[in-house]
Amino acid sequence: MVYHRIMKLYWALGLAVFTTLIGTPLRAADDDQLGWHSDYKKALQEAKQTGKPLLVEFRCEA
Amino acid sequence: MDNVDVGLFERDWNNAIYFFFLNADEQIYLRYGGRDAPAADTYLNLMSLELAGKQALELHSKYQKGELAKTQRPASKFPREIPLLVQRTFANNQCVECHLIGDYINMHREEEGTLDKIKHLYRSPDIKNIGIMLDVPKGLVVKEALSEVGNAGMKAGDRITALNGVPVYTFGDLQHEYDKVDRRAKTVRITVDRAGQTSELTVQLPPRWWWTDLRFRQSSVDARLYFEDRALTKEEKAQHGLKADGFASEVKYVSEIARTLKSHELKVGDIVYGVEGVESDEFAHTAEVYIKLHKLPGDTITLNVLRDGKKFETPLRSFRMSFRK
Repeated sequence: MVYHRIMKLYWALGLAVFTTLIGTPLRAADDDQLGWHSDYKKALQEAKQTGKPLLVEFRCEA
Repeated sequence: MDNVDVGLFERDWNNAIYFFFLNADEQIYLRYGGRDAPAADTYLNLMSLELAGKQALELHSKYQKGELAKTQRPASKFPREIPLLVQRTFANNQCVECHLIGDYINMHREEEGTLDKIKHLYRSPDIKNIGIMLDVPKGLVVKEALSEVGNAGMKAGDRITALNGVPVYTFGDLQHEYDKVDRRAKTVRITVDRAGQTSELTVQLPPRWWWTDLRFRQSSVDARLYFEDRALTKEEKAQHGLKADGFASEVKYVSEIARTLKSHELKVGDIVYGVEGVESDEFAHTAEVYIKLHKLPGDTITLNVLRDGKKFETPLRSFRMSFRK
């Protein structure tokens, strides 16, 4: 599975900070192992090359 | 969000988390997400997410073998094609919060006169309104089948597999398809699997099956009224000599904002039995819903009110919610 995450960007003090609504310890471990993409086109390209499906995640302040 | 195809990934934009499983041809296998009015996580669960992932992999295997028909890819639409988003958010270098996508699309619909409030404001009807209580960790397995779906023959343990003939694998799929149902429809077809046997049930839709509490949609384009009400019962309407099929409702809460803005002088216990002389409506069951469906934010409206047995008219000025928090 190719993983793509679209996250809300907070711009503060000139720094981009990613935010999440998922439990931090679990997420931190899994993020490293899964290798999430933050560029959808790159994720799509990898899916085309490998034949794997994509999981696209939207997390947002709703 | 600038380069995200919100046409392909179209959804109810008032969800804080949402997943799509798809392939490199951008064929969406299934969705995982969705919510109800009381909570953002009513239908979110790690077990059902794992189940969704397994189903997606099965569908992918079928797709690779040519056993799954291709579907029409939704037309692309990008945030930069939403003028209000560009003017108010991009131009100020502010982040595109998901809800802004839906909110600004609705504002454009409002300007163009194409806003269908019962569809566009009241998105994602609640399946509990027709009696579907899911066993959430098990995906679309029914825990209890009450009211309309119970009458149609649905039973606890059934697994919902399609809505109006469209396959659904997750609550996200079910809610997405249910949202497409014409709000004036009288029935909906739900297919269930019961111990390997497939049945299609015709479910009668009750009045206002689409109605949900809008309060969690904080920046929606509905008129802000700063009071809440409850529909009177038939007995209460008869007791007060009001129309049996009317939307007469009792004021149960008045926001302090109403006092600050001097938007109205309603009191808890008042009965609003009409709006500008209109007392009944095909869709509204309370005065609050009638105003939200038929009036624009900023309108000043005359309410017909019953207080201590006396009828009188009183003005109410509505407001538009600010889009920035």
